[in-house]
Amino acid sequence: MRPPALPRFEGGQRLQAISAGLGVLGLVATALGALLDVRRALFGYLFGFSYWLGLCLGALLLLAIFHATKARWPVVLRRALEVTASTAPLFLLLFIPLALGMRHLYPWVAPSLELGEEALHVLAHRRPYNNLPFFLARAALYFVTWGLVGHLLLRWSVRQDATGDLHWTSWQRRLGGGALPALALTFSFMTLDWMMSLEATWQSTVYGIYVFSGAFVGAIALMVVAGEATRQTQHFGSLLSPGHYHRLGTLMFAFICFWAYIAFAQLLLIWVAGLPAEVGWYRVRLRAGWGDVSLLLLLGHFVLPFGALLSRELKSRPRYLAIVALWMLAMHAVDVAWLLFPALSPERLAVPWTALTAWVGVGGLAVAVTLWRARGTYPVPVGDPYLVHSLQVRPP
Amino acid sequence: MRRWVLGEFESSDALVAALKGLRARGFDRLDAYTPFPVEETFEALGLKRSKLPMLTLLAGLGGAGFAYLTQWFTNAVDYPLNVGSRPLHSVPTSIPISFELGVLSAALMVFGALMVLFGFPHVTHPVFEVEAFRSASVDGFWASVTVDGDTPSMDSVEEALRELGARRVSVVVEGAR
Repeated sequence: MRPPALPRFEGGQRLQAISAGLGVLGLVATALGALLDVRRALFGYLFGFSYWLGLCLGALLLLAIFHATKARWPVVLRRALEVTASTAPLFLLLFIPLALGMRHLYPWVAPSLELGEEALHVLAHRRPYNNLPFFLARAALYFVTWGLVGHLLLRWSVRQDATGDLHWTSWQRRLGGGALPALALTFSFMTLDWMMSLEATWQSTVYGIYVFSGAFVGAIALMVVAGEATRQTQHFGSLLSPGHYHRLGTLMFAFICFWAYIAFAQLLLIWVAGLPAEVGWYRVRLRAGWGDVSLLLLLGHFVLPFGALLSRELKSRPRYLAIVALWMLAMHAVDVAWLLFPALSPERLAVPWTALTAWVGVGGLAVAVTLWRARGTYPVPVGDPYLVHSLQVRPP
Repeated sequence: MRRWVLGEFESSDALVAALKGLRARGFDRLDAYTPFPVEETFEALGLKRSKLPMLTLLAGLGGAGFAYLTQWFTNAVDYPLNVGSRPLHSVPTSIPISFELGVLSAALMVFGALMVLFGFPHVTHPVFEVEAFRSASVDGFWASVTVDGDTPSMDSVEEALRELGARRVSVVVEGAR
């Protein structure tokens, strides 16, 4: 069996223009929000930024893991993962507003006396880690790591399209596997720096893995949605079989369980210990208001999709699996909001409207850049030696 | 008396075609023996979905529910013990044990139910008495039709297997040496 003759991807101009337009509009609206209330607007912006960066990095980690495990079945998906993962440089640009507005977001930048003596003492103790120059240097290191790995994995894969040389496969595998520790560490420290340090003194050692597990589910869900959306076109979706969807569904199922496991492990340890320094984070999130969101996450991010994805039939049916994937992408937004916004409004359930505009703004630009990077390349890695194997995948 | 009519085919494709042909002729108690796994045979045999997943789900839920109820009963009802004013009935701390017993029950159900569904202990099978059947682990692709009593009739099965291109047809009788 020969790989089908696929044209290079040249379409998507309209979608790219629409999403770029929406992106600019969303960011302008968020900027207007900043004129009204800088702190609320920045929180909204951080939400949009974290959500889409999480999906980009989730795709990068998924890609690196596929290379590290020498996986053959996902070769059909790989180009879509590669272009998604190579959008990290966009987020470097989008990071500028956060870097400029840090003192409105993070209590450690300019600790106010209202925090109390205890908290000020803790913040002073963390000064050698949490200070402006080191924070920015770390951010630079994260972006260099993500940008470099994403860029090289895409470039080597595209070069293999032309020549089919096997050494590109081994280069990608070496980089993918070798970069995993660096990617895991930068992701984990990124969540501590940009998300967890919103809370003045609270800390959890499992926080990075928690954010990762949610973003990873989101990245898998994104691939399912992208595949189903391009089923009728000449893009990679037309080559996906029920076998690919079954595998993606199984992966999503596994990482939904992993997310629940991590979330529960954190809750259980803090609940059992009952230490004043730790319980505050959950007190805010378990009271009325945010408590309802916690319940929604338990049911919507775990119980419902767990029950749905148990079914083998559902996982092999693209349409149904795409519905579950869309649901998970929405739940991931709830999850990110649940992590961030209680730091802004601990007393009652409130989400700034700039969260929506920033989500549309960052998302629009991210989609536009992804399409731009995909243009001119083949929809699948046509030079990959395992493409034919991947095309023959069937459900078990 | 149970009998098996065995037919040997030259290739996996011929076997799959024969299995489909047998099903089209109305024979439904089929089995296939191949020297290596042939994915298409699973489909061609028209196997029903296994009951195992449902049994496992029920056992898992039952085990988890039993563990949760037991913890609630001992901690909050039967022997309440105040430890630093912690709630007697606490949901988070009951979950690990419930999860563990759920997994254990599900795993034991997989093991036990497999044994029952397999008909364990069943260490050998009369088909191994046929000398020619040795080719099933070398280069022969075998289809078998189970015959209980007189249905379906032996002649019709043998005829069908020959028509479908079997290069050899053998009959095995249960309990015969």
